[in-house]
Formats: sequence, C-alpha cells, structure tokens
Amino acid sequence: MKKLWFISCVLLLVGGCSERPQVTSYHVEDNQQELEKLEEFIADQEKISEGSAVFFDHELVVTIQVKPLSKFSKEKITKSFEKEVKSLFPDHKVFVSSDLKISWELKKIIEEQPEKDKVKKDLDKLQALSKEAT
Amino acid sequence: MDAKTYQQTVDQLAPKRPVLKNCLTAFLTGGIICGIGQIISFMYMYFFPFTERTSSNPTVATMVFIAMVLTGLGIYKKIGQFGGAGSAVPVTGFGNAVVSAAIEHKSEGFILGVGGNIFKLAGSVIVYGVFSAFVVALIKTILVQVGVINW
Repeated sequence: MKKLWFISCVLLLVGGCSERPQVTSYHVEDNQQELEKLEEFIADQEKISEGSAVFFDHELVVTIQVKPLSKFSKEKITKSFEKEVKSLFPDHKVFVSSDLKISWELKKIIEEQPEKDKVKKDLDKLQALSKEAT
Repeated sequence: MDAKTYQQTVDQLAPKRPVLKNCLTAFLTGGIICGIGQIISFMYMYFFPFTERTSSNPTVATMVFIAMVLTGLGIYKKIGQFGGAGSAVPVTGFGNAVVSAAIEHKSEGFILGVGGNIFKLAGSVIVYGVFSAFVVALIKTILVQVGVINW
C-alpha cells in the first residue's frame, strides 16, 4: 500500500512537471503549414500548460491555460501572447482567451471537427460568451 | 492592585489558547469551504454558459444559500465552533451572520425583531465593503486619470 502511494505521488509530481504544453488544433481549410507554425509557437511557451486553436477563413481563435504559479499575471501573459500570435499571423483576425470555459468549448469544436457554417456559428457564439461581463 | 498586576494575574490564571491548533483548523475549514466553492464554480461553468469571470456571482449566491440552510439546521454552528475564523471569513460567514441574527430575534416579532436586527452583524460587512469598494474605485480612477494604469 505504501509503495502504491509513493508511486502515485511520484507520477503526480512528474505529470505536473511536464514541460511542453499540450496543443490541440483544427484547421477548417486543412492548411498544415499554418497549424504546425502555431503549434510550435505554443509548445515553446514556458508559462503555458495547454493550448487549443481553430483556424477558419482568416480567423484564428486560440485558448490557453496558464501554469498555476503564473496565474497571478494571467492577463499580462494573455496580452503578450495575443500580440505575438498577431505578429505571426498578420493576415488573420486573432482572438485569444485564457478562460477555462472558452477553452472547454473550443476543445469540443476541435473534437467534433464540424463543417464551415457550423464552425462560424460556434466561434461567434464563443466570442460573444467571452465578452459577457456579468 | 493596579491594572498591570491585574493583567498579569489574569494572564497567569487564564487557560492558554491553542493558537497553532486554532490556525490549523481555521486553515482546513476555510480551505474546504473554498474547495467546495471551486467545485460549484466548475459545475456552473460545465453545465451552464458561464465563463470563469461570470461564474463567480452564482457561486457566491449558492454558497451563501447553503450557509443559510446549514445555519437554520444548526449545522453551521458546529462548523463555526471547529473552524473559527475559517468558517467566518469566507462568504458563507455572511450568510451565517444574516440568518443567525434573524433566528435570534424572531421572538421580538417580524418587523422590529427579524426586520430590524437581520443585518445587525452583516450590516458592518456591507458598510465597510461598500466603503472600501468606494476607496479602491477612487484610487483606481485617480491612477487611470494620471495615466499610471489602464482600465
């Protein structure tokens, strides 16, 4: 029993220390070059633990999860991340959010991989949801 | 006997407070209450269209409601005896303060008793909460006007 505890603790520790952020993405027009470019960029971020992205008709929606210890400066990290993504994809309308709910919803879209019309509807809904203040 | 020697005698005779144990139980109780709050917040985000920012309002309302029900059933009293400040500082302490005052003064009638005394304890929370919010907003407005920070 003690051994089991020890192993699970070590696994938890090691799992928590995974360095590179997990990235999931979906490109409606299936442009692998753009996908790889963004995935590499997110994977290189030190303060981010998770990232998801959807490309759709010159629109790019990205959600990130900031690492627990960096959560105090979450807003700043999100802003600088958004700036850098915008400079990487200057011809795209970029939207970045670090909200957990938006991240969950975007992951659902990535899993479903819907058609163009539905993606547009879902992404518009997502952006409207993120603007709600109360 | 002057005031100083009196205080010394009191200190000698009074039982020592287990400060460390009290801190630990308060930490645990407060932590558990906040953990439950986090779970409720996640539930609002998962099952309803609330974001991380907007889920805080319904979470606070739910926590206060739960504390009110527990106070009515007499369970929050026991939690308070065990956790001390750990049960009073989170927002659940506010619900407890409102309902316990209402229960206490119920015998004096609904208008002068319950109505007049329901915010007897929680009133100070509201007064100083509003006042400190005003002060913080004032400071922020001045800083924004000066150009030190943005909204």
